[in-house]
Amino acid sequence: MARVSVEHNLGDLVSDLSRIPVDAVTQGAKVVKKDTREGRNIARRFARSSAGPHGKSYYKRITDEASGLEGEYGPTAVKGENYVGAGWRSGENTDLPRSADIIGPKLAKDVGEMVDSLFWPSGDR
Amino acid sequence: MTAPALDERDHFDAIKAALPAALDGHVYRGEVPGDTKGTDPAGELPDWWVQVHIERRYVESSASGRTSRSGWRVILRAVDNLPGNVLNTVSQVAAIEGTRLTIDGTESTPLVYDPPTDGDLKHDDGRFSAATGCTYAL
Repeated sequence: MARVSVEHNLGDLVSDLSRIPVDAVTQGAKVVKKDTREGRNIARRFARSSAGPHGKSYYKRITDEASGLEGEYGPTAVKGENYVGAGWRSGENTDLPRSADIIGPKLAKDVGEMVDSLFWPSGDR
Repeated sequence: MTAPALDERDHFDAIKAALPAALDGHVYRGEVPGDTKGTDPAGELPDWWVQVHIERRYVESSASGRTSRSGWRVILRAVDNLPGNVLNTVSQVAAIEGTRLTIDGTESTPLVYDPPTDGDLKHDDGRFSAATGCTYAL
């Protein structure tokens, strides 16, 4: 009669679970870096589309920087108070908030997918 | 189903009504009367005012691409000759946080504090200004 013998222990599970904190940091850093760059790109597109004749190069000031699980993007220097386009006469500049409206949910989704993937290291479900 | 209340003028009316009565007559959207660079340069610029900026805000839609909610952002900027007055006006304007607006028969979500990145007190084209802001959905 055929016999099936199964032998297993919790070693593999322990090994997988031990890797989760380590992978969470490395994978998380990749997500943050990618989405910070994407946020910068979105903000730049808004800046270019709303630029007047004196602000054609302003979008280049918007840069990004990511380190570990933190990232930020925005203009590298505060706009001068007497620049054309600054001030109450020119209305509000919402390049950054509008980009945050888009990249915020995307970042949340990407982080969720990354965390989910940590529990399936081989990719099998 | 289309998102309700898409006319910004209706939003402006509701926001004005929600602001403290002390600000009546000093709240503007778009141009300020007396602005020499605007389309209505006649008259004098007010001593102080609150400028309201309203814009539609991106909200993720359903998988079918439709949404029954519309997202909004409002920025309120106080402009005055004296920095202390600017800060006092911003404090009064901040009272709008947490209120619900009724626009076109639809009640909004409570206004959530979301200030602009350049809202700190600063010199502003011959005056001083500071801003606060909120987001909400209908």
